[in-house]
Amino acid sequence: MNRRSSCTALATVLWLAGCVNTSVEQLRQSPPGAALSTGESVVVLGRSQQGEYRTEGGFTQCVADRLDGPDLPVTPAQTFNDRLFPWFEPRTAPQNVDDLRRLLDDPLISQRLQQNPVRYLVWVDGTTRDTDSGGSMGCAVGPGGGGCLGFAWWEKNAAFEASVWDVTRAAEVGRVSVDASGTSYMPAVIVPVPLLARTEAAACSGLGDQLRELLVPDS
Amino acid sequence: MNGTVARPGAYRPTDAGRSRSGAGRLFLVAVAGLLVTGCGTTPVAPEATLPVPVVAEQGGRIALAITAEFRQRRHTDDDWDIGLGEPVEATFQRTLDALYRDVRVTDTQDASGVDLIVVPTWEDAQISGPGRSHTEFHEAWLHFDVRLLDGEGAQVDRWPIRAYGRSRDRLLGDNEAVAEAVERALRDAATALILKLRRQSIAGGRTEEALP
Repeated sequence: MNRRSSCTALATVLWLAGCVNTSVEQLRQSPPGAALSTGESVVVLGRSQQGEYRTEGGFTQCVADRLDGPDLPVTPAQTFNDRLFPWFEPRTAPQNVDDLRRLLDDPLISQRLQQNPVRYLVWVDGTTRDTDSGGSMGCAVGPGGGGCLGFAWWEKNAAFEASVWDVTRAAEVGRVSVDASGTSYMPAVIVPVPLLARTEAAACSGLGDQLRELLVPDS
Repeated sequence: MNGTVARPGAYRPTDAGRSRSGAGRLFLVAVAGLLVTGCGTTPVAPEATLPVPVVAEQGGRIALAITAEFRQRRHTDDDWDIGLGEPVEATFQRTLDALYRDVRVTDTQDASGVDLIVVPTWEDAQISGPGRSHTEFHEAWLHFDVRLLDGEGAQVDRWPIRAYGRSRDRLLGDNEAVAEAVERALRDAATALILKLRRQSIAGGRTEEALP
């Protein structure tokens, strides 16, 4: 291994060096339906509510990317929301399958859904929070240059739950929850070196893999 | 019906797939801050981009009363100069166009020749960014008072609209993030307007009685 490769490998190890603990739980509430028919798709939506509560769009996009594949095509959330505007907005989105049934009773909405059939709605609800932090680091810049000195750490927790609805049966298929905690470190001797814990990415992959297992058991 | 399709992909993927460190982010923001120091107030022009609502069109001749003061409304603070009046007017008009067959915009509350007048007035508009709220979001709150007048100019109903939108901040794209927060608030305002007018119609309330 030459010197350049060694440096690259070292940098990669350092970048991944934060640690994450992840637990994932799955609750299957009804047997999964048949495989998706041609043209059917899945939509991953972030749970929002009237007011200011919003599940982070970046996380739901990550889960959607994780699910998307030839056996499980995913319709982008924005496309779905635009197509059914204003019935999946924060102040109008169905909160449970009874709300969904009422929504589907409207012939205009039902007809619009049938034009681009969505078989499963995946509602993702949750957040990533900074739970703790410590250490100290100082940086200074002078005529001769600059640099940092110190050590800082911080901890994040990502807790999300996904609820899966079968639109054709207007029934809840199951739920998957994930809880991931990770601690990142940043020592600094002239140059800060981030040792990041990929907490949200771990939660996303855990949730996405379990959802895929729920929706495509043979995958 | 006069709706337009919203820009695709308005919800942009952000940090999923990579962790964001508080200290690392602070360092990058500090560097960016040094680069842009002294820029002053930035003009922002949000756009009224609404999808075509999935609602049944109703009959009736509707007027949307927009005053010059309403149309010229701006939000100005130390960071932003945001034109709000025109995109809000366009949002209200497109929403009414989807709901009613005959919609006109007027600058008076003269009821002659119409069955219902929708009269929105500004109550408040607030914009907040990460620097103020200590969050990772730009946020917009748009508050209106909406009055409905019948064909004789008498008030038949009145309700508030409290619209909210937010978008994640971007290291070198704050203008777009602020505009996007306002555009999401406009979308929320349109949703509220549709719900109010549709519920009144479904309930057979006074609004429907004002229509032919």
